[in-house]
Amino acid sequence: MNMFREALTLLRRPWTDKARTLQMRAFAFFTLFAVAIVGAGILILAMIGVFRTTEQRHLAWMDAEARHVSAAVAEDYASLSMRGVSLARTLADGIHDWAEDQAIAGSQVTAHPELVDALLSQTVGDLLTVLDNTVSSGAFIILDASTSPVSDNPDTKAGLFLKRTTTNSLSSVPSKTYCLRGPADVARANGIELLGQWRRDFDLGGMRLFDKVMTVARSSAGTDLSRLYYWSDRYLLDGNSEYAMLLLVPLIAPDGTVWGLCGMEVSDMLFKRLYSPDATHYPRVLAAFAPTNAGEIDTRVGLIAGNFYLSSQTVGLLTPQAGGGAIDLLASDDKVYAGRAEGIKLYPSDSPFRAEGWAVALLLPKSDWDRGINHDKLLFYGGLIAVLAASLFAALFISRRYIRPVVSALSLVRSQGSTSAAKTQIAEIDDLLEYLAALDQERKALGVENQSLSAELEQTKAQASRRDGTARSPLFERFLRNLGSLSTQERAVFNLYMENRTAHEIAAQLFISINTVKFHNKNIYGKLGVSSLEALKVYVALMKET
Amino acid sequence: MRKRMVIGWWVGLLAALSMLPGCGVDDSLDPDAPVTLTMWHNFGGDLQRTMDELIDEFNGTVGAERGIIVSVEAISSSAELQDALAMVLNGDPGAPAMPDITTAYPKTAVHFQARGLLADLDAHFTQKELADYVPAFLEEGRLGDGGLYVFPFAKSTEILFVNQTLFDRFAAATGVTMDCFASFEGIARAAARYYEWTDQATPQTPGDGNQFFSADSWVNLAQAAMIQQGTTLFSGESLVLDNSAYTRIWENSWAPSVKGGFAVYDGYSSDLSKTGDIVSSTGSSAGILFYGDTVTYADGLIEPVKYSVLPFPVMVGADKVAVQRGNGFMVSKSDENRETAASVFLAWFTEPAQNMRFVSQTGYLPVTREAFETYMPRAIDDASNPYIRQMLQTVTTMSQEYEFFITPSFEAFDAISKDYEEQYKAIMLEERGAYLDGDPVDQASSLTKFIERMRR
Repeated sequence: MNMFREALTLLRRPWTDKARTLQMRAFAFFTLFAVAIVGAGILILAMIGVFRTTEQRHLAWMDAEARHVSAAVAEDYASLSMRGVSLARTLADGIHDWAEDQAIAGSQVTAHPELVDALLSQTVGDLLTVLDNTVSSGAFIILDASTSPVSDNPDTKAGLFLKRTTTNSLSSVPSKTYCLRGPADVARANGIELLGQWRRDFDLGGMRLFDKVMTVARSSAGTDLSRLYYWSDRYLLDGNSEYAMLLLVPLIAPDGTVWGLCGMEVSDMLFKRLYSPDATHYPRVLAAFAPTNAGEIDTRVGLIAGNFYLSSQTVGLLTPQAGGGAIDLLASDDKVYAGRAEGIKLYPSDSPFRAEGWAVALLLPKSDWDRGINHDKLLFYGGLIAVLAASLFAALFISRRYIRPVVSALSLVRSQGSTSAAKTQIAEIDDLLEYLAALDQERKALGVENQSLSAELEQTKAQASRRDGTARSPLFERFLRNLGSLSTQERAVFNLYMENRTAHEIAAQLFISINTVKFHNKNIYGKLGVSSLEALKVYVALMKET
Repeated sequence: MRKRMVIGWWVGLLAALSMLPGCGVDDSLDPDAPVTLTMWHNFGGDLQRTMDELIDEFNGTVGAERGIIVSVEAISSSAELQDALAMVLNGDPGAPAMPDITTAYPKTAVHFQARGLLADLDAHFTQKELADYVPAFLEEGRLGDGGLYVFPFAKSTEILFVNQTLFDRFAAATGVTMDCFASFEGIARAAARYYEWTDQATPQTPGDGNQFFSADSWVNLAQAAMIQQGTTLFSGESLVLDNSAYTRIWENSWAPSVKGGFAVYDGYSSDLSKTGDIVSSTGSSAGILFYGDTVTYADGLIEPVKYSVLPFPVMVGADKVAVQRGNGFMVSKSDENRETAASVFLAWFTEPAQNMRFVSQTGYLPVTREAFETYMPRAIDDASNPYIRQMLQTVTTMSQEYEFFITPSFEAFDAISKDYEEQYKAIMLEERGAYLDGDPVDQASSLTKFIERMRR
């Protein structure tokens, strides 16, 4: 506290008060030094581009993260699409060969419910291979076939749906395959456990997308299979415990018969594990992959990846909103999101489904975006102020430390006198103290001499009055006698002292420096036998009187 | 004095700097800078939606207010989670990062506790808060140094599931009554009779009878049956099989397993039940939802069925004892902030309101005294699923009549249990194969062979 009190006292002192500016000068010097160092540091950081504006940095992060997620989604979905097409070709070839072995015409494959289990058992290997080698959470085949015995429900279809809770491609953790739909015997024969929700058959009641893809496949005779795959919206398949996007690829016989569909699923959980954005800066950031229509992004039927995500319903239908500046703003019913959205091409340009647009959006609540930028600004300016404050503190501390010996020495001289002042271990100050001590000694000696001179003067004056001025003291006699030994210059100086001129006036009158006057003084003292200018002046006064 | 003051100034300056945003160590929960807790759990299938809804609700309420986000990263079966945790524990190449919260049995958690990887939850709950929980459930989660490392959130016991539709048909034809389910001996006799009866249905194909009973865990069955007889399957950290009590258990299971009646299956009994391959099974009370309300036969025919939920069988003349099952949440040791956040979630998740929502939709039992004593009767009345209602009634009855034991939690327990299960099934299937092939089989020599294998 004393340090700051002193600093304030220093600052309050007038600039003209030169005797008190030593610490101020040191403080100013060190402050200037510290500010120069900090300034140079900032200049260097600025030159190498560290200090872009806070918003620019956040935008750069947003752009990079959005590009990264978008590229990953585009690449993975393209790869899955191709693997799905490949799976459909493999399964179709297998079914064709199996039908030939059974002596069944291609168009009649699905008309034999009693052979469905045998047919499905042929497909297990291919489905497991797809599960092992792709980033999918499930693989399936749904035949446009009745089950055995024939169900009353026309929406009941035979098929096989294998699921993995953990995708092999994502983790080295061994994971089991489960059967969600399909004949239990087929599953058990392949060491596959039944899921709790297991049923033998698919109930496609309400699954219009099955009919949609089948219809398109049937009406697109001659179209390459790679143009006929379809990605569903976020969908909860009959009996499935989690929502997923389904890749549906038609199973087409060489004669054009569409046997059914096969494909893979990307579940909510898998999507989250694959595409959760870096949440270091914004814990609530999320990536959404959803259908688009006229600029709107409908995350209600898309997938979302992010820290807080569990239910897709947390975001909703997103509508573009103006006023975001460099960042895109998308508003749902109850919240405004800041982020970036980029269209993803899911289908080839000649696909029957090419009109269906999808987009990947990296989003975070607008309030988080604003808070993040303000936080960084506060951090930057707070840091800057802290560095400057630390510099000032350091300057104050160092200047105080620097000046302390001088202050201490002065204090000692004041309280104890220069002769008894202790050594400070600082050469310059010790020299000064020694000089002051010597000066003190000289002054004391001069005091004694002045006393004796005064006594002599009184004595001489008394003798003169008694003997009519004929008698002089031996010292005065010696003084008068030696006057003749003065040189011309010394005599000139002496004469001016006789006229009561000061040393500076003498120097001015004789056109010599003050040091030359002092030099002559010293010689005059020696020749006339006096020890100081005071003694000289006493004798001069005596001369004038006599 | 002066030096002290200078140090004081520096300390003051550093403290002031540390108060600048982002510069200091944040040791408190902050809604503006939420802590994200990763979580693994084993509640997939029908249970997943309940779990998702609860976690969603936490994130949107208490989590949002306190600055906690629970992020589920993996939902797998208990066995898969155990494998994944084993990889984490062993530091295997490619092992995933350990989650902040994961469901685990004490037998798994004990390995993590031994290596100092778990947070002692005693430090995050007051004695008064812990007093709200059923003491036996907390006790099960105390490992090693006695600290609370596995926090209970739902418990179960083993009960007997009976396909009443199939059994009634069998009873009507043979006169076997439901009394057979009171004891293991009764089940074994009924199983032999059922196999014989179903085999006779297709005289043209001898030896194709249906199985009557299976157990989800043969080692749990053996542990319970031993304690029912006043002894234990484990002595210290070793199995004790060469005694009369175990011989009695073996004798009871061997004949139906080898000659027909007991299904020895490498999977959950509910799988077999769904396809009508068994009539009854012992398993976790929480497995009730996996049984469904239909049986799908191999020929595709689907039959609506009804299930009955009965108390765990007892060896004739022995005490009524059943296992106390159910995993808990273990929290990885990290920083104070994350551990506190995890404990906030655990406390919320096990509050009676949330706890009852979870248990009444999943078939588990609550863990707090208040939920157990006050909410349970209401939950039984309100349960929309009739099977859950039956299960809750049965478990409530068992809680009044049965003694419950917890499985040991020494480090080698899991490995020994797994080995027991594998060797038991292997011996029984080998003997079954030999029996079907017409080779001589013998109960006593098979037990000797089993004991020798377990010793190895």
